[in-house]
Amino acid sequence: MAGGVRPAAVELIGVQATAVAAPPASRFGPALRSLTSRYAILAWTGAAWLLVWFVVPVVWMIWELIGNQEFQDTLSFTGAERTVNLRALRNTFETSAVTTILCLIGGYIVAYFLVNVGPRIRIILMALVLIPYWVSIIIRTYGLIVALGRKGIVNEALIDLGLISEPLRMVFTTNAMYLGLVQILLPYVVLTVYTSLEAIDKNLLTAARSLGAGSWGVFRKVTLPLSLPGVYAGGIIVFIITLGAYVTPALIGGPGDIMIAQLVWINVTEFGAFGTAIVLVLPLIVITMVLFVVFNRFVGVDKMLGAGGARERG
Amino acid sequence: MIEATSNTSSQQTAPLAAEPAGDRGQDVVFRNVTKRFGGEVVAVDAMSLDIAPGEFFTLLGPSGSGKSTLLNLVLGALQPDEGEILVGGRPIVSVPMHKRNIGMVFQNYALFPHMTVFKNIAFPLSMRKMSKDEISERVTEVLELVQLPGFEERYPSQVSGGQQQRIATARAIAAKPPLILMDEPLGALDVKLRIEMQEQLRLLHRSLGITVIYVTHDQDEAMTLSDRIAVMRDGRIEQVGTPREVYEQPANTWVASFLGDANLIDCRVVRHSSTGTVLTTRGEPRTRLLALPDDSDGPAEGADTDERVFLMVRPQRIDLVSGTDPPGGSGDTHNSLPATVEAAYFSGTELRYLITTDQGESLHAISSIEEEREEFGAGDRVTARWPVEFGRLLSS
Repeated sequence: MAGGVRPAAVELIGVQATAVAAPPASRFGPALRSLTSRYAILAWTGAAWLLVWFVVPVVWMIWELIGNQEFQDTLSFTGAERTVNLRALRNTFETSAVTTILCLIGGYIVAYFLVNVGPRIRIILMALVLIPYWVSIIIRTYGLIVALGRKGIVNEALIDLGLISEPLRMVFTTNAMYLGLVQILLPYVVLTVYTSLEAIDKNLLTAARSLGAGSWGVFRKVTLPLSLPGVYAGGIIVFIITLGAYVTPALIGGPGDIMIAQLVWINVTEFGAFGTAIVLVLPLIVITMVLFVVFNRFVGVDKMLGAGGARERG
Repeated sequence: MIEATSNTSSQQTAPLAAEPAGDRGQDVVFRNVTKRFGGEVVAVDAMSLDIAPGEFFTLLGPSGSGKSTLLNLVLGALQPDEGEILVGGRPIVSVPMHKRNIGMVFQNYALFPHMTVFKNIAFPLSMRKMSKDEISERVTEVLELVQLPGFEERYPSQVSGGQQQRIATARAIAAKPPLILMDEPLGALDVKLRIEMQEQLRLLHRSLGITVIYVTHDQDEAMTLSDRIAVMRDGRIEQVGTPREVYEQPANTWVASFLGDANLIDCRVVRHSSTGTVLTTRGEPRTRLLALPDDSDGPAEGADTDERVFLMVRPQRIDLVSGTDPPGGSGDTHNSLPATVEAAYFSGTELRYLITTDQGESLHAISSIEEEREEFGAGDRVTARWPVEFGRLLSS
């Protein structure tokens, strides 16, 4: 993990590290009472890691640049930069929202299917979901470029089928970017929703049915509400990761698909404008943290790690 | 949940769920119902059974006897491979579960954790498109029936196990089904609470007049609650009868042993006579015993001379008297077996003896403390005596 880590990867690692370290923090009260337990030591190790490699650098950078003129200028969003920056910011949130919705719809359908098929088919489908998940984002994105290119398998197939006569321009478009983001992030939703669905007591479905609910009624009144923690968890993970997405929009997105992460990269490497970069990153960090706090308040971060099921209300 | 097509196709034939069935119970008839699992294992084997309207009927058996399977066939969670089930005269096998209007109380209650008590109980009512006022009126009514008024706004996780059980019962009866099914509904409660809930259930059943099919493996519970019991084993019914019948006149040695303590004395038929069957113990020394002729279809009634049979006597029916000389003469209406006391246990309300007859058979005898009988200790020579009418002849 030396110097040149890509922003997307940084964001990804950041998210996962936060998710792993958060449960002990959310149960801070009991944790204080058992500071000496073996588990507490594990929690402190994680917290220390985050403190050294995440909190300290971020706070230090902000501190360093707070009196910087460039920082002040960017903060006031003046000049031509203002348009570019604002557009990137809006584009980033829009992309994140659309990607999240697409992933939730697609991921829920896959997860629902996974829960309701036999064990043998489930293993095969699970492997199909998980194997791409373990493959590097770069490789998967380049795979898409090859598949969607002028001489790619998709265009060739469409031409062979006689549906089109000329190859379609698919790669380097906004739609290609969404396709790339969704195929990369779908497993997060599949896994969180699957865990939630799997944790639902099957007797509840039988009970609902015996009480007069048809298939749709059972789904709407019982299955869906009880799987919402998984939906929220998957949605937040996808939204946060897309906020910091860099590789996919840069490699297969259209020319207008400028994300904050790309802008940060350009500001740092080409202009050396650290102040601008920090200003651009701040909203992402703030939004991420707010989302986590809200999520933890209403659902519980432990649900994100696959505890699933409905939360007791009290 | 890919049953959309079957739902729509059966909609024309299915009776309307919202049909006002009233609180009256309906009869349930099983006709040659068979259910196999994986094509091989027979869970329910050509079962035929008639349950009367308003009856509290218990399926009693060890785990794997098919009692829960039978319940799920009535509920609609399982489909029989053969046979038909009729509720109130209407065949229900082809009716989808959500249109059967049968209440069910699950062992783990299956209350919806994300809904308040009110919404849980209102669930079957809102599915029947009842108006808001009707719903809240009915929810209040059933909550009073199960003695939990004012619990509307709590969540299932905020009430105790016994209360969850009652809420589950309230939800099952809310839509006034003619039949409710209960699958070990008290199994998760501790003994004291269970007995309290048994009384409540009995009262509730009486006040509603609803038909109840109850599943349990607890014979005491079955005895306490039921109008009739079907004792099940390996997917078959071994015996159907009132609690008293199955306890005092078990159909065979298995039923006798399953329903509480049973002394089974190994015997041989000497001859039948008008006053009963004369037996002799198979062990030495041979001792004459007598069994009265059965009033009904006694299982060993037709036993041949010399055939091996068992004489069943409940421990409560055996009296111990000191000494080994059988009292009384030829007019004695008791059977007597000389024995030695092996151990005596005191349990608060009763004295329980383990004795070994001179034939070498171990028997239990129980006498209640109030009777103030002579007490014995290990090693005492006694005679075990019981009135002939309390012995029951069972084929081996």
